[in-house]
Amino acid sequence: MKMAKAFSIGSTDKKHIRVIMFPLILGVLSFLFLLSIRFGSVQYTTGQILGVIFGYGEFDETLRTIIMDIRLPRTLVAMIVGANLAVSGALLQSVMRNELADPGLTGISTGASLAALTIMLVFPAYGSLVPLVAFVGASLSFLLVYLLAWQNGIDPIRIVLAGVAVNAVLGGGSSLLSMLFSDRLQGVQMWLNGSMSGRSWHHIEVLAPYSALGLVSALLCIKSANLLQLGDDMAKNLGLKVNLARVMLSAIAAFTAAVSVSTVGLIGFVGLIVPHISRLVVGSDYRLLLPFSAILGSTLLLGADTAARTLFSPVELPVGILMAVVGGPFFLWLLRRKGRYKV
Amino acid sequence: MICGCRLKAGYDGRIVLNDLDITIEKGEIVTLIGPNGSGKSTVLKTISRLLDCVSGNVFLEGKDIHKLKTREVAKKLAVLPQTQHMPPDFTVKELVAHGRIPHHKWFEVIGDDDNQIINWAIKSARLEHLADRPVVTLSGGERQRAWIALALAQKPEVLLLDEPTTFLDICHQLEVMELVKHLNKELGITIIMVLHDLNQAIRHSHKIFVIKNGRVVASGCPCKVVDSRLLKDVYGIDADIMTNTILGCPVVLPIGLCGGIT
Amino acid sequence: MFIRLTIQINLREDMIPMGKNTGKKIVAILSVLLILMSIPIYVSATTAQTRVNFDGRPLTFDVSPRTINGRIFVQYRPVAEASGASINWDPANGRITVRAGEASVVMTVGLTSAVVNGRRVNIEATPVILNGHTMVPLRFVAESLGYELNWVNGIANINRRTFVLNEREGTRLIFDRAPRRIISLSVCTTSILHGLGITPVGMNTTGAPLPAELGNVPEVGMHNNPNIEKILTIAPDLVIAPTRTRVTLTPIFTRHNIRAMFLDSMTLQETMDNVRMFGRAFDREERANQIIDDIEARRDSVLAKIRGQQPIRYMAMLGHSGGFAFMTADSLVGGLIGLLGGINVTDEIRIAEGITGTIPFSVERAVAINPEVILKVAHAGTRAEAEKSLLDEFRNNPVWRNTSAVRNNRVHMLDSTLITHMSLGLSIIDAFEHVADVLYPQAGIR
Repeated sequence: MKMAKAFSIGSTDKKHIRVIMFPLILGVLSFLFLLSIRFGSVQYTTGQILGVIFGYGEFDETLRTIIMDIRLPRTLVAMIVGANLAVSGALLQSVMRNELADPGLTGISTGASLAALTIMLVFPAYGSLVPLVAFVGASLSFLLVYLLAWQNGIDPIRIVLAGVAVNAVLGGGSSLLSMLFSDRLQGVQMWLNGSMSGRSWHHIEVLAPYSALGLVSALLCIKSANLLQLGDDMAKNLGLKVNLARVMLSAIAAFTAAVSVSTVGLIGFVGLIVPHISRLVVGSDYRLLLPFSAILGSTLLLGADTAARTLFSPVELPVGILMAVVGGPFFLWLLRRKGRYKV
Repeated sequence: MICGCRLKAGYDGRIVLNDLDITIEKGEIVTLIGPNGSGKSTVLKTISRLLDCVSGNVFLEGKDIHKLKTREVAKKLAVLPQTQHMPPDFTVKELVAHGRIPHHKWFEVIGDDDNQIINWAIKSARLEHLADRPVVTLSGGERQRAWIALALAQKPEVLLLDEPTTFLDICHQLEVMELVKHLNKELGITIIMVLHDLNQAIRHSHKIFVIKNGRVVASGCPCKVVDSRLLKDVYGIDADIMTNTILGCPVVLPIGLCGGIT
Repeated sequence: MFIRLTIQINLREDMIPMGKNTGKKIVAILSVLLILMSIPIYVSATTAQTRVNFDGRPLTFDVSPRTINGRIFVQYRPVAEASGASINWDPANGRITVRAGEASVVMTVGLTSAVVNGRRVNIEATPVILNGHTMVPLRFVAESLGYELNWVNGIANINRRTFVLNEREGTRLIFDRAPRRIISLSVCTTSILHGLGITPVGMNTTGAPLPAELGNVPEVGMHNNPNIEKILTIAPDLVIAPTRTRVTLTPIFTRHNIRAMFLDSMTLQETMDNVRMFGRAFDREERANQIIDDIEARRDSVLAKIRGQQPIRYMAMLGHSGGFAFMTADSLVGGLIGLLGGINVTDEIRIAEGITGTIPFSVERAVAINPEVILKVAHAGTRAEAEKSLLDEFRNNPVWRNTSAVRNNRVHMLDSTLITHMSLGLSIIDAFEHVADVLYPQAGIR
């Protein structure tokens, strides 16, 4: 009962905290956005940068290219991908009814990897097809996992097991390719570790509409996601078609994650940790959890990417590694602060 | 009111219910009892559409339940499942609010009417003082009452409870049973329960169905149905049945297994 | 063209009152005179037909081009002016100074040397003055101003010189002027550029040791993920990157209009070809030729020393007992040994096409094949003591102990400072000599 007392925050207080969190995180995101444009490998003054953006004063072509064609699109890509991956993770955690779910469970990461590696290592002449092929690979892998898991309905445990099997096989394929073509491997390392480097406006032309589609679909499924949290029986009882909901949510999650992976390569950790942290901050109601996860995901990935490309300039760290190093300890700190958390 | 006709249902190819017929009248408290594996929970799941039957029909007020829309059924039937999942930070109020979902179209949100109903449901379950507490911090009995409140918020006509007292201590068992009876008496909700405790079943129900091997082997008023022969046939136990003067209903006292331990 | 002037002399007895014999004498003398006169005409007639085009347009000369001692001389001024250069004539010293942008040519009449862009060069023949105009050899004119001379249908064409770079896969880059600001994304390219006397304006971040003169060259990030912001700020003429980064880097370079080429220097021949190509394209031909001659001399010396020896069956391994892979014949080491006639035993196993470099391999098979010589390469940066202990560990390993290589003491560690299996540059010839020395210790290569 001591624990109960410790946890009995008045409901209005909690609501206030949750509501304040939104403008707060948006503020952080905006700040990081400005930071990301301001800083990079080449030093410019704020005045010069403002001049380029708003079109006054003198500036050379290189400055314009760097700000408008390199930093700005890269920042936007980071934000979009961050939101995608976070939302994907949040949806999957509802499907699996387990907060340890990650988009990788559905097989999309290994599917995308194998497809991309096949092009990059075996048919490098078709390099421009990598994003499309990666997306197709991710989708096929997802379909495979869910077909294997389907047995008069879809069940979280079967999804996990099928995912493990498919991941093992496809992962083995990727490893085999890496081994046979070891001297070409260095070129693909950046993709395997996820990188926003070199992403520009024409990536956004593909990423933005598909992401918008995915995110809007996710928002429409908030109710289903909430209901699944109560258990299959309760959800059915409250009028949810459980199998359909599972498949739909999984498909949307896989879609948003696949779109991201095919554009920037494999970035893990976002889909797993961002919804977790969001849960600790705004609670498990998906009406708050989903939008907050999206914004937090954008913020986190943008911060990580900016740090990755400025800390050891001109060398760039892979974004995924930096995110794990920074995000993990932060998550642990958050857990300890809140005291108790059932997984 | 609810009629299950020649129900055949099972799991993973294994048939549990064999041509089972069951009829439940409106306003009754009905309990299903029987040995483990007899199919009691299966009947409940089949009636509530949680499980599809291989053959046979379930009729709710004359209409085939499988032909009705899921949401329509959800407005009439509420189920308290055996295992409950929920995120740890849901308060009682947030949990109960989910009961209003079947009544909304997909884009609607909680309105004032809904809040009234939610508050009423919490009050009926006698949880007003705990409305803003996270459900995981409540005691066993309180937690069950919170889930019942959720079911109430659906404003159902029928409430199905699958072993609602199994993991509770004596006083909480009584709490839940009292609430159930109260709901039936005051609100006229038809109750269908699965219980293990024979005495509870006898004491609190209007009608009992005894299920064995997927069939109804006896049904009727508890005092008449439960006798030592039934207990021997269905459960394989020797028991003494006494009539309790305070409660006015039979009480079963198990003596031993039939023919010793085999 | 020999022009025969045929003059018909109509001699009518009534027009010229002379004897018959006198008429014949006149014809004879006239003919001889004509022949004598036609010799200079022959000379100048042929050169009068020599047309010189500059950038496709014909040039007009005050003094026509003429051949002196078999070389064609042209008037310098029209050519120089057509190329937009300014000319200064110093009569006191007989010196002509031509300036075109940063280029300058200083010639002195009577001297067979000139100063072109600050460097003294020899001219085929000394400039001469003809009719008050300076005449210089045609080829020198063209090349001193940085142009090319091509003969097409008897017309001399002076065209702007182009600097061409060719990739192995056939992509061709053509520059108007020799690229000067070059960013190198691989150590082997940096090494070649440095050898040619060119300092890159940017290079990849690397742990490999580099000559001290390159200490101030700005870094632009890893070779497979260079920092575009930095590159754009440096504004290079050309970026040279390894071929394995082509797939990921080409779209980025194309998008930002950065000219880039992808090449490797994985074999001795490739390295020399690249040196030659760079020499021509970056206007460092002399130095390039020196380097190539040096490499060829050293290579031939090694080959001479091992002439007559039996080809050695060898196996080359990268790594150590924890995990190793075998290097095929087209790996860097394999290529070098191939030049020595060595036979890579892993090639006796049929492997699928296209699998190159290093492959993991069945140890059973390797032992069964029983090569004469086993070479091991440690990873770059392994210290000498560590290398020695790896070697001992290998020799004592029961799996390998009874192979003929171990028993005959023909297991060798290749010097990892000389053989980093990825990139070498000009030091590839050192690596070649080292490998040869290890394989043929008796040949006295080192």
